[in-house]
Amino acid sequence: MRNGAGKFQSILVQPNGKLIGRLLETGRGGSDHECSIPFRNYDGFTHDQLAKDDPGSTTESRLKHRKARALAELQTGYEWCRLVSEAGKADRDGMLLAMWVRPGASPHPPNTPCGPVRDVGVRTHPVTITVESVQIINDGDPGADGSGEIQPATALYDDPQNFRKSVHRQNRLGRMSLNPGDFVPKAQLPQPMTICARHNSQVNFALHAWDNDDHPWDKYATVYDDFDDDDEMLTGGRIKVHSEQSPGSNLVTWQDLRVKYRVSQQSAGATCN
Amino acid sequence: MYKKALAVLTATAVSALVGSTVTAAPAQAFSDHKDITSKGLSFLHWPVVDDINDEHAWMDSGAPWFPVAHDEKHFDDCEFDGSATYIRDHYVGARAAMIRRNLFNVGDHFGALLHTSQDFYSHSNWVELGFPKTSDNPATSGIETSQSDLSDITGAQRTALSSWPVLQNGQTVRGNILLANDDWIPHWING
Repeated sequence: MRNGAGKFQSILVQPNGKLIGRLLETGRGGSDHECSIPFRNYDGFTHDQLAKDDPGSTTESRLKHRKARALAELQTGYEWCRLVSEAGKADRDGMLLAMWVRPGASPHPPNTPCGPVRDVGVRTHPVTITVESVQIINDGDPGADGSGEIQPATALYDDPQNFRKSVHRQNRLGRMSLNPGDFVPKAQLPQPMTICARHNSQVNFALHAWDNDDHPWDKYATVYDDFDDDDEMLTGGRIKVHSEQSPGSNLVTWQDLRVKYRVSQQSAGATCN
Repeated sequence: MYKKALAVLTATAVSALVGSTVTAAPAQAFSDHKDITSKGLSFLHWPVVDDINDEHAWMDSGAPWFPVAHDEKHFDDCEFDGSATYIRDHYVGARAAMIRRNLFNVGDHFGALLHTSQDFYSHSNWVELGFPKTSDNPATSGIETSQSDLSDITGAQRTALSSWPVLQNGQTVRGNILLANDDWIPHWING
């Protein structure tokens, strides 16, 4: 037996002893046996030999488990970046980011492609989106008891394919009992959002809403969920805003919502990060 | 000819492996999938995280009408290409659910693919191969990691976000690390 690479590493060598490579393997499965290399009497490792599913009882097993966990957690963040990218390709990035991300949270896991970055040596300036009105076209309760229990959510972000900056908001003061044609009360509109936009770039503004069917004592009374009773999403949309767009108000009509928003910028020369 | 051309050597437990019988290993997985997911996605609404986490139990319990292990769901049995395909398929499903505006279904697909991608680090010898390589910071209690520590088989070392690649048997993963995919019969051993 030759120990060329350390514990639980198989190495492939030529007769002259030259190393061809170390093998990336997993443990053998339950129903068959596919890690073996025929004619070499090589069976691979068992599941239990490689598994780091729990800490085990030794110092070594605990360290391996911690390393595997740390890598799995980082991979989870990486997959989030990939999901945002996929949403962008499907033109659904605004829906995902407005409806899934907690207000005020940063969905930018460090050390991932959508981790936070600071703009160094790049011209940036603040771009602010203020939601001035939201009118309900469809309240999510067709033919039901009348009014829906509406809650809008917003996001302002850079690029789903290079997702580095974002701001997330939700309406204030909880759900509102609204009918088609009604406006969200001014005091309950989401707060303005500001992002540092690169010169001559685009940012994305998204707004969606949901009919919150939860009882006040439900596990998730104030958020969009499918626990017990499914909340219905009210489809808004996403608007691309050029970083140098002239300040002013704009009206957009989406499937279930009509939204008036104002774009504003700080004076030329202002910088931010 | 191939018998003289190559040798596969194992650093440890090799004598125990040769001639061993195949036993039905349980479809085990990280005991803390939910905790890993909750920490990795702590910025999402809690019901979204719950919805995603629901999939972990389904992935581990399997379908009652087909109670054999699904290697592709857990990176078991050197099923690298099958697991990568499984993850890619769930991204296709997630994307289709997004187009239908069914975010709860997106969460189901995302939970399934996260389970498999997390299992890679638990069930493979990536850690034994020396990862993470990022220097430990004694000032912190955690394990330091950076993107370069993630496995190339996930596509994480590519410059742009893209689908999980489906690597083939014997393909170089990184440096001198080769992929020992399932049912590997290296073509060059016959030469």
